[in-house]
Amino acid sequence: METIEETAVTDGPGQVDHSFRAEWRGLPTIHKITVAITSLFIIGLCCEGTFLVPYVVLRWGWTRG
Amino acid sequence: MTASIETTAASLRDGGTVSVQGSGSGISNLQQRSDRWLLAGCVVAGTFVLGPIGLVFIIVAFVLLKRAQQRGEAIRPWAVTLIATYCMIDGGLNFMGWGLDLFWAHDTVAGSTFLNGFGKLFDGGYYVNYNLHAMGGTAFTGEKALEIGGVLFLFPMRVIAAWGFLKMKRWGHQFMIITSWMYCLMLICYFADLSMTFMARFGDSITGVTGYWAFNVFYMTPFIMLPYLHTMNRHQFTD
Repeated sequence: METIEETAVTDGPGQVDHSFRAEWRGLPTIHKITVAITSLFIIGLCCEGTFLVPYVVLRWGWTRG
Repeated sequence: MTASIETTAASLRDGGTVSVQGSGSGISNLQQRSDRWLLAGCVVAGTFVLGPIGLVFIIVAFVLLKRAQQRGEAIRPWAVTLIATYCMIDGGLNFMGWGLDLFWAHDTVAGSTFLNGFGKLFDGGYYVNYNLHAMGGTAFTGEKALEIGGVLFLFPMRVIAAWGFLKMKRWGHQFMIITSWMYCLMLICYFADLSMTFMARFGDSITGVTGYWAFNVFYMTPFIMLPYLHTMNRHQFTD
């Protein structure tokens, strides 16, 4: 399968800008979608358990064990 | 710094292999510290309960990495860091969640409260006849079989693959692809199992299918990863 080459974004002669913003501009659309969803889902994964556990404990308490 | 990046890029264009950022001995102390924070963050986030604390660790790791970049160090692509982080947290959470149900923790008050609560809210498989099967935990045998495969085989492999991917190792990239396809297989079997026991599971949960997806959409990792993994520039990864 062919690869999509990620293009370096040049910032003036002889300079290569490798900041996140420049990397983002150089990404093909499919990779932009991946990175965007990934960033959101990292936050979702980190937060869902913490909201679930207090809710479960407060709602049903420890008696069900 | 610029010359170093350009030399690396030129070497890659010529088909050569170079020790790039994040791998080998060229990595700076700052980047090593960043990776340690990132690993700690993923482990903490993988515990479910301490997720936001893990998120703080991960933000610290990203700040350190950005600082290294501002100092002029060549770092790995940010997309690689994000994706490896996502896969490590996902693998850790699945290992933890299903591990709780598979092993003896399902008999503890904390374990059964958490899992029964999850079952009551989202998936009745963790509520109906819970702990009445010979192995304990969920009484749905299809789910239990997938737990054994996931906890003892796939998810540890997935976390290690993500770490290798983060370190820009060729085997890390290869095993990310391999474990993503394995994960696809597991999810297809999982959805088939869910469908066959639909009424018993979603008929008995408060939020039903909508709630299930609101909670579980974050675990659709391979469907997000595979297009990226198959189209990225794999020559960035070293032996």
